[in-house]
Amino acid sequence: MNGGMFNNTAYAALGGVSALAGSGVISLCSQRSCNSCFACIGAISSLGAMFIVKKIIEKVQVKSEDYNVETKP
Amino acid sequence: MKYTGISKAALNRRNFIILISALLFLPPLSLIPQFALEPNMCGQVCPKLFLIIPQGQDILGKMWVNIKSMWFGASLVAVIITVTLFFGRLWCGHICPVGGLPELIGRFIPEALKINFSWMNAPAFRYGYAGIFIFASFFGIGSIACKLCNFRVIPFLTGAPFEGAYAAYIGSSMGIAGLLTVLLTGVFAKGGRAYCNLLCPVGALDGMSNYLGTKFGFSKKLITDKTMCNGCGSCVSECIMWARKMDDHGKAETNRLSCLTCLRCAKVCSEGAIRYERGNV
Repeated sequence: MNGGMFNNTAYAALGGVSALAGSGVISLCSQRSCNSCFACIGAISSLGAMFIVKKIIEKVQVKSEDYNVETKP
Repeated sequence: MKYTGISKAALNRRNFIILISALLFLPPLSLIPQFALEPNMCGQVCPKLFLIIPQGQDILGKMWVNIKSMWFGASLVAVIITVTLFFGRLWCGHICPVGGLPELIGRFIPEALKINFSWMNAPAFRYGYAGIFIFASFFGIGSIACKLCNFRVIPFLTGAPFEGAYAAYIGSSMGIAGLLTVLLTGVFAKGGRAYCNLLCPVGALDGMSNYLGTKFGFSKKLITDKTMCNGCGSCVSECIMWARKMDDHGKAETNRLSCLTCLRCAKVCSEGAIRYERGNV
């Protein structure tokens, strides 16, 4: 369904790497090893804000396209 | 809409069971964990930690010690997998409060704000993640248990308004990371089940048990009559586990490693092409 052997292997590897990367970052966080808590939280918040703005822009664009289609003769 | 045997009441019943289960398993009541003298789903109730294969000599002996110290969680997982083999995914799909609560809360979030992970090959990712979860210690690269663990974060979240220790954990760096995990892979994810689909080792075992149960005909499964499917894709967008996908001929089909048998797809199918029963079409 989701592609062949290569696709499965690639995603399984991605899962494994995500597990290691995620737990590694959280280990650093819990030990306060890097002392960049605010930088990290700021980066994550910025990404979240960008995501929300992108969604809003997409929604506005879709609405204006609908309006144009409806008003054209 | 054609009759598929799936009523709205059946879907509401599932929501109700998840809420009851949250009351039974999660703080402040934690009625079921209290049988193991635990206040939440950590410690003896943990359903994940005993799965880890330790490093060094006498691996089986060490695993047995882990199973004994987490006897309640280990028994729970054994029961879950056995029940799934013969009766389908009752735990993951209908009872688990850790997966169910974010799904229910996520329904109040506008779809436009949801993150869509459905492009991912979720089963492969999940088993890659579960493989590292189980074997990381064995290969000497540390343990990822207790990190990004929703079985810890969600009980602590529901307990936070009632107990200072829970609130303090949520304020810690581990708690904030866990909270972000719950938000990104639960409440704000399409379907509200990205954690179950991508990161839960218990779900990975349960999905495999469901696959075997349906393959050998022990349990019921979703059967799509492809002669009736008109390829509208409404079941694909409704599926909370991204288990419904279109095949090469434009007909929908189910991935049984992911399907929770919540039956929402059967409810929305205008052609009545999806049935929940034993056998093949």
